[in-house]
Amino acid sequence: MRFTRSEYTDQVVALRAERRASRRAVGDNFAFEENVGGDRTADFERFVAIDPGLLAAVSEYFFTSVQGSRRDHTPSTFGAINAAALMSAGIEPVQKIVRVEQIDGVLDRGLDFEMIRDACKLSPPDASVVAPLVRGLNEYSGARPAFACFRAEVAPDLASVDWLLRLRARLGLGHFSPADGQTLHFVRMEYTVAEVFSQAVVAQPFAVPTVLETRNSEFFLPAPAGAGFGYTVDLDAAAVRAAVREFLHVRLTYEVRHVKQVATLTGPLPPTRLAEARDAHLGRVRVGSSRSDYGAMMAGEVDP
Amino acid sequence: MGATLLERPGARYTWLDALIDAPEVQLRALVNGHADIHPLGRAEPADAAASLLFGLAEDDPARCAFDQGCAALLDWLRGRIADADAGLAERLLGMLDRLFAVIRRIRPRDTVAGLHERYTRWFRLVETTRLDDGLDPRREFWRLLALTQDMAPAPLPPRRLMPLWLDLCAEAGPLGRFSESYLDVGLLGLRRLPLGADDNSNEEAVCHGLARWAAAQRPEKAKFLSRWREIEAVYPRVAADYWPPLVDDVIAATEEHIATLRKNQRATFAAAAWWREEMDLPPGASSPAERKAARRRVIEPPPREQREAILRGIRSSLQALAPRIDRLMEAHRRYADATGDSYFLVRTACKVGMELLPEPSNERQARGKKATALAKLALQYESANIYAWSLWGRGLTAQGALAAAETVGWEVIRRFPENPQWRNQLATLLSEHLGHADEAERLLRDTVALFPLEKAARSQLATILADFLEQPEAAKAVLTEATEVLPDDPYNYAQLAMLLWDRFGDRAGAEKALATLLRRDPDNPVGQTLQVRLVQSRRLPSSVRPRSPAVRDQTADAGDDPDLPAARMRRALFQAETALSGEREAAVEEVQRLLRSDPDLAYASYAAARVGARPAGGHTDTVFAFAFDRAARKGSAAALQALMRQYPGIDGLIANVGHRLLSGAGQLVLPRAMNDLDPGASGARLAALVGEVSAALQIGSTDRRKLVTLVSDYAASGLSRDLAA
Repeated sequence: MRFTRSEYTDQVVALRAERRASRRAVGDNFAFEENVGGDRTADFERFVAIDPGLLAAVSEYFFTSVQGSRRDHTPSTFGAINAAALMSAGIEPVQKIVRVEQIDGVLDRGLDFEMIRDACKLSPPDASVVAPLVRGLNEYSGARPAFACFRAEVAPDLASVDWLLRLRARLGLGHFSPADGQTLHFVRMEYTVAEVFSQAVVAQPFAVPTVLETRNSEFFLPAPAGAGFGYTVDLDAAAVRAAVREFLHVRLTYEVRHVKQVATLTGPLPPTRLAEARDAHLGRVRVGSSRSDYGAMMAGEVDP
Repeated sequence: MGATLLERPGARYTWLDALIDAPEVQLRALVNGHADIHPLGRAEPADAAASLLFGLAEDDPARCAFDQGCAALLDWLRGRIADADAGLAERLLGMLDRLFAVIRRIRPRDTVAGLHERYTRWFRLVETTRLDDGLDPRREFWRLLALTQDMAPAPLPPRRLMPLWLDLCAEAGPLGRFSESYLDVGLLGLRRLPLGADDNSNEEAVCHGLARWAAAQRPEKAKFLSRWREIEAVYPRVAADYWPPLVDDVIAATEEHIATLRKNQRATFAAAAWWREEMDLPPGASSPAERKAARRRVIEPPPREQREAILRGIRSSLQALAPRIDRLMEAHRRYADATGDSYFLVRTACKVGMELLPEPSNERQARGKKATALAKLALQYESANIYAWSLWGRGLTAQGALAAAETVGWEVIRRFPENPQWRNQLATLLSEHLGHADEAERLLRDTVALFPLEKAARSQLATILADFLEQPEAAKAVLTEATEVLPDDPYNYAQLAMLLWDRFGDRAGAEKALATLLRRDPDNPVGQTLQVRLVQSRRLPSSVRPRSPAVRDQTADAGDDPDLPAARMRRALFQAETALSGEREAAVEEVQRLLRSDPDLAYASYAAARVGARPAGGHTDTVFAFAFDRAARKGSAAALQALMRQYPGIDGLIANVGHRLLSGAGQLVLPRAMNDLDPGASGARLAALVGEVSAALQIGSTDRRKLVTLVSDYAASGLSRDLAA
């Protein structure tokens, strides 16, 4: 991603010079990003943030242009302005999608996790308990695009008792990080590509994630141009397994039947060696895309 | 540096030091998603905050700084949202929404206490901030309060918000002021009411909330039962006989309330049958004795006989009555607070208050004061109860607090514009007690224009013209027109006859009027009496009514000046819209002055916009009342049609009414609401409005654009209503 605003360019340079892996990663992402076209870059650079700086601008642009305020907002993610990242509308509709939602914000509204867990064990789930959870999820503001993956690629992980811990690692969900002794709560949602299309008002409701959708996340690494999908950074640098394809889709209004399973994460979790994880992922991406020059490794240039 | 949980388990986030150094700046960075808080940067701000502060002691400097930061950021947002253009305002509202989520999760003590303590201040901020069901800071503000009622500081009464939660339940749906998403908030608020020493839990109050919703919003069976089962799920009760008698009591109380509204005809609501069936209760109402046998209540309402005894002795001295009234109302309050069943309290307060007036003249002021207190008590529990509002005005008048009574009168017109009787009552106060006959004339002329088939207004206008303003010719014109527009109203002919004879010596004219009356209604006793007197050459009764003795305004003495800031603006709006051309500028200046003195008041902004004294462009542009007013002032049927698509529920219906008025297209659409709904309920009021507008359109000369202003009044009647809690 090439900025014309010199202050943004300077900030990318400064981030890439940092010793902290988390900050270096954010700078690298801007430098690596190939899926943000000129129109969208210009749109971003025209955006006036309330707070100064590149990172504030990216975050506020996300809330304003990507997520929006209203439910009927069309994210810039799915507009013509983002043509470089839009995915084909020819994706096979009969395949399942998996998404993990943290639900502590909804539980905050007077819901009980244990009751929801018990209700989800029933077939079908007890709607009297699950419906308030779904209502809460549907009341989030705006039209934030959803990060998701195909169920087929994580099916073996879903069959495990520790499916959530596995998904956290494989999908690069490093921001799900409970403090020591803290428990976070999650729900796994499942639905189909067809359902996304049926609720979409845009012609191409799927897109490759870019730095403008990932809110300065150090756990994201942009895919090369032409890859067709994003690829999640496996938090386990030592794991020898294929990267999971990730994508964005238009926000879905949930129903009770989309709720599959709930689970918790309690801290402390195994530490992530961020530089190693990113370098391992970059290695896989280079091989997969035949782009040996794509990106840059960071091990040795940041604090361990 | 860079210490994170993942890299050094148990380490304290370094961001907390930055937070202590600059609380507001760091809170803003957190809420806006760019705080340096690896690995939590991409987490939702509320989730991140929970992890950042997890395990910290209550007195940890970081927690204190977090509390300060939340309060400071709230103030920062409050200062900016009002003046922001629409685009920036939306972004700031998103920040506010995220900040409320953070506060809801972390519950910083001082910030939460401040939201409760300064409710009015914060409500004024959030009142006009709803964009849609996803971004609704007003709803989230109330949800936050619902969850933190146990954190409200003393001396705020712990269960003071119960009436608000019941109102949210009743008005949450397509026939109400709020979207159905507010039902969750209302029920949550009832669930989380702080418990007193005698309280076990709040399920009875929750059931009353559900019943109010069902009775007012008429959900389908499946939806009602799913909501009921959600409540059952959170109150698991082992004993099979626990729920049925409680539900039976709640249904009975609701049915009794509806029956009272329908003048004691037996009445029910659709969900009652489903609920009884679900509980294996017999269909139809059980008797009070049966219900009492089935359920041992912790607290009962006071026996009806206590009220009846007071009513029988209502002409006793107030000194004897007052302590008994106070004890009765205190018992009703305890029962209402414990159960959520406020119907008895409100009915009793209004009934006793009304019966206290009229009064022996030596107790007028004291009885007026007592009636006023009863009205205000009723309004604490049901802020939309029209009888309580009427009682308040009458009580103030009786105690001589005339300026205060006028304020209440304008507020009632503002809140219930669809009912012309409030205008007539205010006109009486203005002319007979305050010496403002010219203002009363203007008010009644406006009433006649809006409600041309309203009988009392024309008659009252004629009286004021003849008796107070010494304009008998004008009075004659009004009554002559009245006999043409309302040919079946005998009083107009009689009043015209008396006027013609008394003020003009026009015997022939009087005879003609009476003859017309008796042709239409040969048995009319007034007509017959007057005709006989005329034939016998006896004088007809004078049309001049005796004036009430001048009373010094006691408002300042009474210490009872109502805190109704929107009322003053309603009066100013009326003055500006009915001013003669030479006076309009001064009237508009008054509107602007009031807006400057209270810029946060939503109704003040609305009124100023309506008279062109406030430009569009802020976040209130999308508030329905403001959007309707803009379209109405343009006279644009197309713009109103667009609002029909844009705004769901009752707002869409209001836009439909306006559209049909301006386009002249077809019959006005009536909502499903029946007239047996609470007359203060939004749906019933809209039905009344449509009825009045339909009636007005029967008069060919009715100005449709004038009627659209009445619809605009209705659209705005919900603004600045919930200022007290």
